[in-house]
Amino acid sequence: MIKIAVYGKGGIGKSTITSNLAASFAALGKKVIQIGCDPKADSTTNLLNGNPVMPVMNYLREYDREPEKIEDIAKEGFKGILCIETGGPTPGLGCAGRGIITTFSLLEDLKLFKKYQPDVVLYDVLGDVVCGGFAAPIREGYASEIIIVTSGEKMALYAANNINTAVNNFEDRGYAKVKGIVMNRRSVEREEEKVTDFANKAGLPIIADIPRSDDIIRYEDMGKTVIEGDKMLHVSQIFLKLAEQFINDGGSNE
Amino acid sequence: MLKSLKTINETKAPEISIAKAAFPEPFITGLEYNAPARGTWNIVHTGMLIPESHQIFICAQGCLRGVILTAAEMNAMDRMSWVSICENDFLDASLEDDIVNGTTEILNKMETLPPVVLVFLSCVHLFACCDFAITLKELEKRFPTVDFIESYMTPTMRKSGLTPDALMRKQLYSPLKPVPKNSKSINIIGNDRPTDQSGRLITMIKKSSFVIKDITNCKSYKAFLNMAESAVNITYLPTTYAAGEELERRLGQRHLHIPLSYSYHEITENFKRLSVELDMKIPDFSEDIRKAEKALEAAHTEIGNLPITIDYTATPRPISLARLLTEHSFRVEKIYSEAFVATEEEDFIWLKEHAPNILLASTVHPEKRFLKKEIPERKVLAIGQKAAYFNNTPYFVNIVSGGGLYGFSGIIRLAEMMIEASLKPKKTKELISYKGLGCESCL
Amino acid sequence: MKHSARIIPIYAADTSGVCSALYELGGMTVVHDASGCNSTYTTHDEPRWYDIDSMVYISALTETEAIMGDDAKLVSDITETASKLSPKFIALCGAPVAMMIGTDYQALAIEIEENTGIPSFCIQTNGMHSYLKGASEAFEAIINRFCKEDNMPQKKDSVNILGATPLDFSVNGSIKSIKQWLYTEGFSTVSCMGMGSSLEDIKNAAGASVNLVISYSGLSAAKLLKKRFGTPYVTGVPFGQKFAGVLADKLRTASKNKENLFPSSERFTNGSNLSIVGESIYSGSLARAIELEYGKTARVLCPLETSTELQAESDGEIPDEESAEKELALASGIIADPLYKPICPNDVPFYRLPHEAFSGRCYRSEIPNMIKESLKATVFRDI
Repeated sequence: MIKIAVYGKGGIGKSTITSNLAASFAALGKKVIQIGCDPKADSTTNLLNGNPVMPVMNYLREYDREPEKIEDIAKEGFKGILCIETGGPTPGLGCAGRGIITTFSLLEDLKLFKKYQPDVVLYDVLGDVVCGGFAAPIREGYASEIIIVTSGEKMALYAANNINTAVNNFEDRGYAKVKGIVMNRRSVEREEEKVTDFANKAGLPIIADIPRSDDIIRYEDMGKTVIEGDKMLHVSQIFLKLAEQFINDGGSNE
Repeated sequence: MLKSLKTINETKAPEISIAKAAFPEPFITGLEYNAPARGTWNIVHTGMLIPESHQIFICAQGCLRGVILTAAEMNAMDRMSWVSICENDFLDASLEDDIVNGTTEILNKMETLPPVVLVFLSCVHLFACCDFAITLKELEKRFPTVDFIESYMTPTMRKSGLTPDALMRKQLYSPLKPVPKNSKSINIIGNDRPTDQSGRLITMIKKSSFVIKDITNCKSYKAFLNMAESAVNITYLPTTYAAGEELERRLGQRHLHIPLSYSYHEITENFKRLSVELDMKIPDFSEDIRKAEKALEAAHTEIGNLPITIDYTATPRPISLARLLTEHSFRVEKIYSEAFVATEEEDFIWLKEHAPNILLASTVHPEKRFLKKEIPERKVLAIGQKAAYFNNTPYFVNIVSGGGLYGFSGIIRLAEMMIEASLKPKKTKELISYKGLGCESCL
Repeated sequence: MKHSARIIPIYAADTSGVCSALYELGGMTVVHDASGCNSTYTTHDEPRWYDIDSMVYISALTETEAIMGDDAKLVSDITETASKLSPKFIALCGAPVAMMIGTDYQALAIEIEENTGIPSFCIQTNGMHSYLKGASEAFEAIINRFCKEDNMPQKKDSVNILGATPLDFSVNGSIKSIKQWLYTEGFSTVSCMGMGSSLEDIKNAAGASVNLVISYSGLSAAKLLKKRFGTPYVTGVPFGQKFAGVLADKLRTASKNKENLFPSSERFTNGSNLSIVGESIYSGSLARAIELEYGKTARVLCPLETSTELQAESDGEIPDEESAEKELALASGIIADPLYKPICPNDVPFYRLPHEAFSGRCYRSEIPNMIKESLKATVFRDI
């Protein structure tokens, strides 16, 4: 099973990249689950044609009990991708980090992986490693590989570095390892140079270079990924190639 | 009928007639009161069941206080240590390190290392998303001769997944490791006290020349670990079910759950399943039933129309018990419980129809603080400490969690205890103040 | 900071201090907590629980409510209960999880007061400090909220007793004895915070001419009353006949000169290494009483919050088991709660003095009333 957690600064395009990657895996015939781990709960919207799934935390809030079946909190999107959102409390209240852990343990209780038997699981995680809960997706048993999304912007690189450092801190723990960097271009001056420089210092490869693309925006306005919109587009091909790379490298033996 | 049960809403009142009550939770919860009946066991009492074990709690001061004094009152402070946590631990991300280093420090100070240590984390660790498994791995590396038990004092999570009690009982058996099975050995697991030795449950097993193992009879840690060789685990309390399932999954010990019940039919069915498990001929239970009937009749002759109240601390099946008593013409007046286990549903529906005036009462509703005094002075027979407290009565059966009673003999013994209780007043305030009924106490 | 103990227990926490201080005032105290705070408090920290009704409740916080930061439920539960039970005030405090999720108690208290019209306030506890801090802040809150404003005439020779909770004094007649002693010394008692007085009594606290602080939990209240009304304060518990006499004189002096006095820490510091473990004013008073009655000096080892004016020169602080063990090893005699015994040297006389805030109800029946009693006759015959 390939299990990937996608991290990066808030607003850098993690959900876009995760959804397109999910769509690519699905287009390549894989059974995919995407789990949005962000209180904003908008990770999977472009896989669902803009019809969002009820986040787990909303379910708990609304019904005041735990969901009894996966269908209560999951929805199938593009090519059968199973979409789940953890959701979270109203900003400024409560504990979003614990919400993620609670969702994971609920999914475990519902035997998600056993019942659904996915080939690929993608975790789309909030901005930065802000507290223990946001590191949950990289713990043993969840993701085994990490993608860090960054542009050449200073703050994006700063966040990328923080994430890499946090992951390195967990080196002895059998947590997920960083597979590489996805450069999501933002038309920053000397962007490639800056990102390459960071990647070299961190000892990480750049595994994909996503150009700034109006196609992405156009299809997102329609509630779609570019894979669903037009597989033949240059940018779509990049996502498909990235998915192939993961498949060729093989996931963990579970 | 079932359908209509689902449409009944919970009430905000502290009491409601069973006819109008929702199942399984009749009451809407709000602020909570704490009644001074202390006989139920807590996680410390349960943890102490493992011979030679040591407990280390890592929590905030407020959370530590209750568990530590539980140990102090048991005269067991030499088996209890703690690490307190403060605000800064959250800021400098040292929560996980403190678990490891605090435990290390405590163990290093001990003259001899205990063979097993229960490490208890608290709600804040789970909210800070500490990785418990990683910390225990490190401790195992540092103390290879010690078994560490991942234990939880996490009341905030009491309504998420397993109840704290069930979780504790599940974790309690986690040191058992896979060993070759002994087909003639059987465990009764998850209980705080030994099951009534004269009852059918025990005699049937012994008759089939099985050896019975029970943590309550283990004198050494080695003897406890030896429970792993049993081919079968029997559980009968609802809080022990998860432990049985876990051991079946992990060690391949067959799990036979024969729920504590006060229904002749259910008891008979349970014993039939046990007979199959023991590969013995199904006994004839008519004599058992006759004796139970006789005991209940004798109790009714003595107790007559005396109002009876039952609470959930006395038995996990108060509804089943109330049905048995109602069927035998006793006057069950009130049942104290916030919630009922799923297996109570059938009897709940039966009582709705046949004894609709029985009141269900919350034990934590804020108004319960004052209701005690509204009860006029009259003789009431209580089964359980909370029922005794709320009715201000010295006539009560002092048992918790079923009292080790099971099956027909359990019903007979309970009937006898009801007679004793109705005749001889007890010092209620004193008796219900002891924590963990049956445990040693310095009070 | 890692604070651990292998063998001794831990003192009652701030939440218990709050509940204990406010217990008899007719208000409703709500601890924002899952469960546990209430049973711990009502089992081990509150000897009045069975016989005296008081509206102490927990919010019964659940994981989902904590994750969601569902304050609305807390507010509506409190509002609903208050509307039924009509408490004189509503006090809100909290346990660790409530702190972690950043509960804004101040804002909630304002909202609750708006909903109910009942005076509401909060005490910022988190279950990570001792009862002394919780009780101190609760007393301060009550004074801030209810003590009538300035210009109240101060009655000559009248006293507020500050810092009375069963956590330090149990329920063994000590507080009654203190009032009786004051009476025989010619003082009247205006209020006693927080045992044996009503909220009405406390409202008139500004009318006392001097305050008697009998535990650390009354010290900040004394400072507040000094600041607001100019009332001087004296620290000490009238243990033993001789010290009771000294303390009465100090009250008169303080009242006359409008100055604060600390007789519980005015002690000789040389000589004996008899060590008393406990809360600083209680233990300091006992040390002074022993000095006066037996002619022997004693030092106080304080395991709790204290301040320099409450300590004599030779006193020490023992914030954890390790430092306690070290200091106790130097003692020639030890007066302490029986649960300290396992870390005391075996060859040194140990005199049992149970402390409710430490051993709870374990040795409650042994806790002596030493007010104005001969210590030799009642407690420590052979020190």
